[in-house]
Amino acid sequence: MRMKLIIRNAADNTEISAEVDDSDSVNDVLVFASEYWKEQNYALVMKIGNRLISPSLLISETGLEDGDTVVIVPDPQGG
Amino acid sequence: MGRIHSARVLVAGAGALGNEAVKDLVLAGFRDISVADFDTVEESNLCRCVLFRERDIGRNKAEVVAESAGELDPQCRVTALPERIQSLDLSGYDMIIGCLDSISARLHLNSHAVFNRTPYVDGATDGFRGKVQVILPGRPCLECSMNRTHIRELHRTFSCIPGRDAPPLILSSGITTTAVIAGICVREAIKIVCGMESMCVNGINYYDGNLGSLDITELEINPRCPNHGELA
Ligand SMILES: [Zn+2]
Repeated sequence: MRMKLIIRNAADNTEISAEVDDSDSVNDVLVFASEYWKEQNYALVMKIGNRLISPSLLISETGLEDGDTVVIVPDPQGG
Repeated sequence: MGRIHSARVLVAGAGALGNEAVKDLVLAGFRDISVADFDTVEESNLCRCVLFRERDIGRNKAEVVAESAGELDPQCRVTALPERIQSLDLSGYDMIIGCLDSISARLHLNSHAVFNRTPYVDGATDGFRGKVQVILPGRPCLECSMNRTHIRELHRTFSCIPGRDAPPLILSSGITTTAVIAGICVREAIKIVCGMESMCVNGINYYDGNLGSLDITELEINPRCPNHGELA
């Protein structure tokens, strides 16, 4: 089943509407978002509200619903 | 102060974040600190690293940090370990503070910490952004939240030195983030040695200097995490 997600990029506060399949994984959506925003130098995580969405879950396992907004956040790795 | 004085702490990484963390640890009263880094001081480090001086260029970072930090408090023993993180003997420490610049080195410490039930406080920075995660027994580890975008960057060095392969955002304004993140790491270390683990940051403490925000992202143990999920 396909659903629409609003994906917001916390780095610049822009957002897109994306159609995803519930058989897609969160990993798939993260890679898609990374390529869309060309955040090729950064690792990203995905959140809904203040909860991180486990990357290995399928969209159907996340509890996300059609029209939900998820936020992708750059995940710092420097020191 | 007894617990703080006697705790054995390893600081992994002696870059900008490691400098700041060691300085904070010494001033907080820790007296048995080891600091590890195989890299050498470059001129471009000087404006970012509180314990480096111009005369230190070319010397091992861990040795310089140990020497300079020891001057802050002569009662504090700071031991230099001029080695790669992957080569270190990680046994015998009461806790580890990660101040690293690569995902692969982080994962090495993370696996050790989970397996040996050693408290591990991981700090990271990137320009205006930073984060801290406290890995304790029974809590999610670093790998629980990692995904394919992390794997893609697994062996990248997220250097703070201009002119290397660091992304532009990392090159600017890092030192204020470094101070915030190092401070949080040491605050969490104090809680751990004082038996206040239940008060430690639970989840990932994200700092965004652009917004001035500091919030905790909730995180669960990933059952597919190789460290302590169903595969462990
Ligand atoms: Zn894990």
